[in-house]
Amino acid sequence: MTDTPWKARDPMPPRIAGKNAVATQLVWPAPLFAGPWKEGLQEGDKVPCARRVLMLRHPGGGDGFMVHGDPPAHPQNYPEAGVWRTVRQVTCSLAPGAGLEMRVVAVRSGMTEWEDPNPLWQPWQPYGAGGRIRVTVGYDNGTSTDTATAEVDLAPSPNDDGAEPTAAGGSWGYLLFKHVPLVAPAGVKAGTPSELAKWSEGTVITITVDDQGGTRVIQCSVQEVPYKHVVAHDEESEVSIHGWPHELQPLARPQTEATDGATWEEHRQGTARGLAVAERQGQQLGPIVASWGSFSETLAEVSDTDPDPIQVTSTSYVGLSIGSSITTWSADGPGYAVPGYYALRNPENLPSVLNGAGTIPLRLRVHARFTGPGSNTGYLKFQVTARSWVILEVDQAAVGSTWTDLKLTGFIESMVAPNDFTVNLQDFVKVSGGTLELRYWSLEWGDKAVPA
Amino acid sequence: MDAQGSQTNAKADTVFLALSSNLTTDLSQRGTNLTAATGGGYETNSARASLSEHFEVCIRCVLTKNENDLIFIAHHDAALTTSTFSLGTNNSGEFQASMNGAVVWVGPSVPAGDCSFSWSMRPNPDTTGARISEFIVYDHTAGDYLAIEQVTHAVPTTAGTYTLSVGGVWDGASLLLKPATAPSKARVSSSHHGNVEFAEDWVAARAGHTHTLDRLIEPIGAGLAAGGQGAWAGQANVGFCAAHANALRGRMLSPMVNEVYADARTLTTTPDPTQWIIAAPSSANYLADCTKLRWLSCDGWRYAQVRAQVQTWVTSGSAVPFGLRCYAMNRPHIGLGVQLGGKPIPPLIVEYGEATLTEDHTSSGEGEWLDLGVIRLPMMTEQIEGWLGTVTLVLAYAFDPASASSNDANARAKIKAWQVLPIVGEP
Repeated sequence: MTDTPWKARDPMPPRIAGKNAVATQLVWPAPLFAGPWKEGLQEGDKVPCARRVLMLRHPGGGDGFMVHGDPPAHPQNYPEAGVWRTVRQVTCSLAPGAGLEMRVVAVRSGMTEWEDPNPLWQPWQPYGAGGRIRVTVGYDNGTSTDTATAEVDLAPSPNDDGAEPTAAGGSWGYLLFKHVPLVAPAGVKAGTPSELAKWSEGTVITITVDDQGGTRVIQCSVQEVPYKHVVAHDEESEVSIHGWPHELQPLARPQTEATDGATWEEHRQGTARGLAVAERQGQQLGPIVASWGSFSETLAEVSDTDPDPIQVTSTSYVGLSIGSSITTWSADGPGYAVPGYYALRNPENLPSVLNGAGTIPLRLRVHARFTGPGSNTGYLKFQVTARSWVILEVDQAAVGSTWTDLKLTGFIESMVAPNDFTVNLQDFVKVSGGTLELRYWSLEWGDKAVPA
Repeated sequence: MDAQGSQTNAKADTVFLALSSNLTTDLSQRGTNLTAATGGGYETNSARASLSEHFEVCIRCVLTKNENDLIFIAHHDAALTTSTFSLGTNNSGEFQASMNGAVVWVGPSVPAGDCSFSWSMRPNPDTTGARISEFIVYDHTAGDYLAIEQVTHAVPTTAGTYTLSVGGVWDGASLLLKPATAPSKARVSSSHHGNVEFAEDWVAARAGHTHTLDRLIEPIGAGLAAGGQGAWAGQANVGFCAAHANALRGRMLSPMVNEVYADARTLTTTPDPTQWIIAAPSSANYLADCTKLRWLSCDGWRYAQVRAQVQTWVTSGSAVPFGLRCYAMNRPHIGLGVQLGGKPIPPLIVEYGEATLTEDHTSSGEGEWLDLGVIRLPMMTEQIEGWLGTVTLVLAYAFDPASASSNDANARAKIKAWQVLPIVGEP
C-alpha cells in the first residue's frame, strides 16, 4: 500500500467553456456573493482543455506524392518495405491533464520494394503495396522520461502497382481516416497515480512521425484531449488546475484550504488553490503558435530515412519555410498566424504598458547543424511585423555537424484579435559563412523554463 | 511644461525619465532630478538604477557617422571600472553595451542620424542566474531598425552606491566620453520592455484594430501572494477565480490550421492532379482538393476565423476573378460510403466562408491574403468512434466563379498559406 496521497482530477472537463454562465454571474469583489462556490472554483479547470493541435504534418502544396503509380523499376523506385523514415518532429509543452489523440487522413498506399541480396536479374524488386505511419512521443519533465507510441496501418491501393486512381476526383474515394484515441505512456494508460502525476505538470514532449512503405499522407495530427490530472496532495503551488474531485466534497465552505490529512498536507481545494491556479494559468499557459519541418512530398526521395534538410549558404536573409525567393518581411506574403489574442499576458500587455498593440512571450525550438566544423554563425529570424522579431543564433563552433536542438525565449508582437491581419509570422535565415542545415522548428507561447 | 509622472512614457516601472533635451529633470513618478553637469547630468548613490533582475534603459541621441568612444548613459562605480549597464559606442564607431566591466554586445556602425538605443534585460528561464538582453537600435532619421538582437549573459553586479550618468560618464569632476550632441531623451525602467513596447513608446503606435469579435481581457493577476498561506481568501475570491477562468477560457486556443506551402503548385482551369480534385459540396464551380482536407476535433468552440494567402495572375489578357472557399463539414461530403463506424452515415451539414479577388499579381508577385471570414464549425454529433466532436475542413477554389470573364484559360493561381483560428463566443 502506497503512503503517497494523490490529488486527482479525473476526468478533466471535456471542453473549454463557451460563455460561461457560472462565471458571468460572479463578480469580484462580491462580498455578499452566495453563488455556486464549487462550480466557481472548478471553472479554472476548463482553461487547459483547449484541444491544441500540437503537430499537423501535411503534404505541402506540390502536385504529387513521393509514392507515385509508375511500375516498379530498377534502381529503387519505391520505399523499401519495412524501413521507417522520419518525416516530422515537433517539441512543445503538454497542457496540464492532457492526453494526446492521433488522426491520420491518407490516400490508400502505394507500392514498396525490397532489395534482393542475391539477384538473378536486378536487386530492387516489387514487394507489394501498403504503408504504415507511426507517432512516437517522448515525455520529459526534467527528472523523468518516458515514451508512447501509436501506429496505424494504411491500406494499399487495389490498383496496379498500388497506383492512385486516374479518374477525376478518384482519390476522394480512396481516402482513409484513422484515429488513435489515446497516445500515452503505459503507466498513464494503466491509470497509475504516480505515473499520471509525472506528466500532469511541466512536461515537454517531442513528437516524431515516421512513415513506412507506400504512404500517401494528407494529414497526420497530434491533438491534445482532456484526460487526467494528478498531483500529490501536498503540492502547494506548482499546479495549473484546481482539481476539485468529484468525491470527497468538503463539508465546510468556503474555505481557504481543507484540513491536513494524517500524514500529508492538504492543498487540493479551496480559494487558496483557486487563486494560485488563476495566477499560474495566466502566467504559464498559452497557445501553440506554429511548427515546420523540411519534409516535402515533392522533394522527398524513396531512400530517405530522414527528411532532406534545407541548406542555407546565403549571407543575407532568405525565406525558410516561406520559400527562399522571399527576402524581406511583408504583411501580404505567405506566413503564419500568431494566435496570442486570448493570451495577452500581464504585465506586458497592461493598457498602461501597451495600449492597442499586443506582445507574447515566445518559446523557439530549432533542430539544426552545420555541414562541418568552423567558426561561423547561422541566424534564424522569426519576424512578425516591421518592428518585431526574434533571432536565434546557431554557433558553428558549438554545433558543428551534430544535429542539435536549440532553444530560446523572446517577445514578439501578437495579433490582438483573430482577424488582426497586421501580424504575419515569416521565417528567414542566413549564415556568416559555411552551410547551415535546418530540419524542424516549433514555436509556442511562453517563457517558462523547460527541461534541457 | 512637462509634468512629473504625467508623461506618456512615464510608466509604473519608470525610475528615471528625461525628455525634451532636458537630461536632469526627472519626469518619472519618482521626480528626483539629476545633478546638472556640462552635457548631461548625474546622480551619485543611485539606488533606483541598481537593477540586476530586470531593466530597460533607453537613450535617444543625434549622432554623426561612426561617432566613437561615447557613453550615453551608465550606472557605474566611482572608479569607472565596472557598471550595471553602460550604453555607448566603441572605438570603431559601433553601438556597444557593457556591464560588469565587460562588453556584452556590439551592434551596428553608428549612422549619421537621430538614433534610439535600447537595452532591455530579463531573467533567462533556461539558465538559473543568467539573463537575456534585447538590444534595439532605431534610426529615426532613416526610419530604419538597425538592430533587434538578443544575447544571453551573466547577472550584472550592481550597488546602490553606483552613479547614474546621462550624457557621458561622471568621474567626480565632469562628464567624460560625451557625445557631440547631448542626448535628447533617456529612460531607465525596472521592468523588461519588449520590442513592441519600444516601438509603441519611441517610434509610433500601431493603428488601432477595430474589434468585431468577442475579446477576452485578462484580469490583473490574482497573485500567488493573495492565495498563499497566511493571506486572506474568502467567498469573494470564489467569484474572482471564476471570473478569472472566464477571462482565460480561450487562453490556450491554438490554430487548427496554420500552414504555409512553399512548394505551392500552379492552379489552372484544368484540374491537376485530376484525381485529387472534385466538385465542392453543392457547387458547380468550386473544386475541392483532397490534399487540403483536415479532420480535427473542435469540441469546445463553434466558430473559426479563416484566411488564405493566394497569388493570382494571367499569362495574357485581363485579370480573372478567383474564388476561394473554406468548407467546414460534420464529415467529408464524399468518399465515406454509406456507413461510418458501422452506423448509417449522418446527414451532411455544410458551412463555408468565401472571398473572391480579381488581381494580376504577376507570376513572380507575392500575392495577398484573402479573408474568408468567420465560419461556423458543424461538429459531428453522432456517437461514432473517432468522429464525435470533429469537423472536416476543406479548401476549394474556382476560376471565374460568376462567369464574368472570357480570359479563364489564361488564369493562374497559387494557394500559399492557410489559417483556421478558433474563436470564443460567436461572431
